[in-house]
Amino acid sequence: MIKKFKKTFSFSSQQLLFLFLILLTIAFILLDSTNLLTPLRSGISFLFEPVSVDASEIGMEIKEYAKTITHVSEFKKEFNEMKIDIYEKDVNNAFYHTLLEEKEALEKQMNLAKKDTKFLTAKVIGGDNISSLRINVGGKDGVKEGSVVSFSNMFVGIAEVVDEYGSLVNLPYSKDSSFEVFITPVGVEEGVVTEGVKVLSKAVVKGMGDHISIENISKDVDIKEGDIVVTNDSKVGTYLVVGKLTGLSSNPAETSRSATVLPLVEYSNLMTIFVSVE
Amino acid sequence: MIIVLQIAIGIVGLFLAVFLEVLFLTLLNFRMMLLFFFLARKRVDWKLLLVVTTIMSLILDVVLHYRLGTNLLLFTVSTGILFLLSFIFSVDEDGIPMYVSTFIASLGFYLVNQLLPSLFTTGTAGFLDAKIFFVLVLKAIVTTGLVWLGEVLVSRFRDRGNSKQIRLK
Repeated sequence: MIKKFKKTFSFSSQQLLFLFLILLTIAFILLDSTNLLTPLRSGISFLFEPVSVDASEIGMEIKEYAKTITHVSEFKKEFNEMKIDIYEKDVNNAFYHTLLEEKEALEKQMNLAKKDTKFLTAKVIGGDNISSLRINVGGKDGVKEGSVVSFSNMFVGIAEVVDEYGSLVNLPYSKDSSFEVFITPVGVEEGVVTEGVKVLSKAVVKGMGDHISIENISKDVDIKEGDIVVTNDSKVGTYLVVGKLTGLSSNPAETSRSATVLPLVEYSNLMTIFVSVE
Repeated sequence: MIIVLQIAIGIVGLFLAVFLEVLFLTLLNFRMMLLFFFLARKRVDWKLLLVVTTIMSLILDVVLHYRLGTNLLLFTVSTGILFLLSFIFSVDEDGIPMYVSTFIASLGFYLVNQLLPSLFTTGTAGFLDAKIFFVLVLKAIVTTGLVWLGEVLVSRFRDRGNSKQIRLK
């Protein structure tokens, strides 16, 4: 049986292989120390280096994928930690933004509002932002029904419902809102009613739900779009800017003119407002 | 015509072998060439094996930026170990002695591979500590296991009437 199998690698051939390998090894190591094998090296490099680089790159890619798969739990843990970290930073960022907004609002209020009026700082905590706002101060803080709410020297609304710890402010958009105003072309700079204000006409502002209407504007005076509407009502107080005129009617048959008031402040953007508690 | 075809297959095989060797070297730091050397040792004519080993060694020396002859020296060490062990027991017959000698030859190959290339290129032998030695032993065990697997697979695919030889010439 054993005789059937011809051995191609006998003891002598193994000996020969070993002998030739030693000789070739010594020869190549010695010759490589000279410049004799440089052309051979260059030729092999030219032919096989691209294959080697490709194989190496593929190997590295596979290794990276394998590493990702084996370390997926670590990556997941790291991802969750980073997510929590981002949430914490978001919370801090939001807090700093709130502080900044409050600081700017207070600065405006101190610089622009009437000096003889006592104000209470309030935060907007909800509401529909169209006809009403909910604020975080109430009867316990000194707010009363009818208290005027403003932002620097701009009219925001009137406290309609006052509870112990919160109040509902009626905005000029509300259908319940109606007060007397006057229209002035000048005398208002950056929301501040300056001295020597020129009253063009008195009028009445009414909330229409989706817009603020102004009626009973005198027909004989020269009123233009963009003129400023300023409060002039005993229940609202004087010299608070409501907005500017737009959409002025021009019907010659009418005895008075009407228009729309565009508020100077975006009520939905308000965060810190001030309630007059006098 | 057959000779031309054999040369063409040989050239393509060389490229494929280099690709696989570098791929596994990058991926697992494992030498496939050693595995093929052990499997071909008993089956291929020694002259052909010498030529193929020399060519592949030179190519790998160049692509791995070793001094020419380094890979050849690694195979010389393995062959030398097998040659010395052949005086103690049979290294060619299938059985435990063959796999023990394969393991020792593989370990010798990996040890020299760890120490010598760096010595030839920089003049300082490669670093070796207990942990690296353990990894080298592990690689030698894997190589021996793969040689056993290769032997089993080759014996299954071989013609029963010619079960000890794969003729390449």
